[in-house]
Amino acid sequence: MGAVRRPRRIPAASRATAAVAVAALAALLALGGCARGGAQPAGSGTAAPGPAGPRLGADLPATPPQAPGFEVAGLPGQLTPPGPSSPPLRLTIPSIGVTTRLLRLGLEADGSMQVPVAFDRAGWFAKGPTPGQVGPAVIAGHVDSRTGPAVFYRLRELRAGDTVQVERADGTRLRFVVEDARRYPKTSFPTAAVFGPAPWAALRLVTCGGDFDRSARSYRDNLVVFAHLAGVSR
Amino acid sequence: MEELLVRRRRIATLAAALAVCVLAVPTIARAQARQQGRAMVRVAHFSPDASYVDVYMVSLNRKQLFPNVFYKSVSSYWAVSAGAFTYEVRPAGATPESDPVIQVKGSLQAGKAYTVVAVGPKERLQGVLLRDDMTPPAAGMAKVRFLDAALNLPPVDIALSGGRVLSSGVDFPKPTRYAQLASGSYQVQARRAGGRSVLVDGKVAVRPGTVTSVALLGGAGKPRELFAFGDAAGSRAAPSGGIRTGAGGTATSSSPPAAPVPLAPVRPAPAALAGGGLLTLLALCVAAAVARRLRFSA
Repeated sequence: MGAVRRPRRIPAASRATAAVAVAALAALLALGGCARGGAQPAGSGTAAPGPAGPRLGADLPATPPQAPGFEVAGLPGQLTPPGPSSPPLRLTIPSIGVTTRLLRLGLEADGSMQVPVAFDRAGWFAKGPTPGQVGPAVIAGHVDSRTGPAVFYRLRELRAGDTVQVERADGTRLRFVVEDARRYPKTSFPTAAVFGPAPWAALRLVTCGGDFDRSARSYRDNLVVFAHLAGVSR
Repeated sequence: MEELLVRRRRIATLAAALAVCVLAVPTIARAQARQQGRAMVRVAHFSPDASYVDVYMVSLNRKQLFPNVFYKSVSSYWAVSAGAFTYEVRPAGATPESDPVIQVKGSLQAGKAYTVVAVGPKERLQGVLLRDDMTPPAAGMAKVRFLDAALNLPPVDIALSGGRVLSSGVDFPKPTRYAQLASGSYQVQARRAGGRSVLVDGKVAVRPGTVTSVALLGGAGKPRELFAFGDAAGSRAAPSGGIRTGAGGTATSSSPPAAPVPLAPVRPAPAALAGGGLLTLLALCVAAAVARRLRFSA
């Protein structure tokens, strides 16, 4: 799917594409790849070259212009679109040696988020999107138990560019890339940034950090790793 | 004001300059955040008779060309450095040196999302910069806004068939504010402003936690219709407060309490930015998926 969506396919489009391809090839052969003055839409029938170059309202697509320095976006076949909904089963983070099956998490009676009952497992917040859907999928895991490190103990080591993998029930394997990692006091947890609307398939990994408040038996901060979808395979 | 018209470019530039002055004052921390900040942007083509166009988008860190953009196309979002940008539209296949038919210059704020839309008849094409509000709706609700991009449509009121008026006096080419709706499926009518006659109607379905835009389209031989496209999706419900993910077993002995905190904002993410390719990929995927998911019929 290209960047630019064509909701309604023009019947002539595929024929036009072929015509354009042929015309483009012919132009390349004829001009040896030199710059074109102004590619007339192919197959426009009115062979009147005239002074008019490309004009608005042409019925057919034109050969993309030579625009050095520009990334050309929107060509078909560039990407894999995010998949439909499917719950995640397993999380793997090679750079910090994490591999865990995922539990399903919801809300506690007091409105806070459930956390995994097992210290060696992470869990996915099931009231949010599944990883790979548009929106923020949230996965939480403990930093430590009462006796030692837990599944997300080394989450603090993640850096921008690191890879996070998620396997889903439908057999898809998703690759996410870390953008950022930040620590926030729990008293001012960024609920909107973590759980709120996102325009693409995003992933947030959450654990604890900062000082441990012995009286409250709780860490004062949360560590949040922000990542986005970078690839889908089966 | 949510939109800048190309004809008000100078005002826009002045405003941008003013904004820069105002923003230049705050704390160093904020300045740093801004330097590292990214904005999200996408493009859309709603001119019914301009047919294929090439869209050029130049931001501080990226130069992108979308060739052969067609009517009713909406790209996905992609991430760019916050700051100045230029949007230009040329007839499909025109050389990049030729005069653009639309040029919009503006400034993108870090952490904000934008849609740049081409609207109007081909002789009077214009670019509109929309600010997309991705703050979460209330629990169980969705956010929807409308954009009048139809030609020759008088000002309209946007109403649900049950009677609730979401927005009145909507006129080309301005977007409404986002309204909150309970999730569900709605018959939506665009009625002549202040009157009862229905000029355009259609169905819009929204899920909790999502943000949706709906454009009124048509004219120049194209049918009038409501065209919904997703802006963003969030969780159906969000927990309150922090998340209790630690029991303290590593808090004392081995590592000092205030221990390794390498986690101020991680480096400006060169990989992520240079890997803008990835973000583009990502962005590219999304709109299609989002829009596809929205059930919608005129």
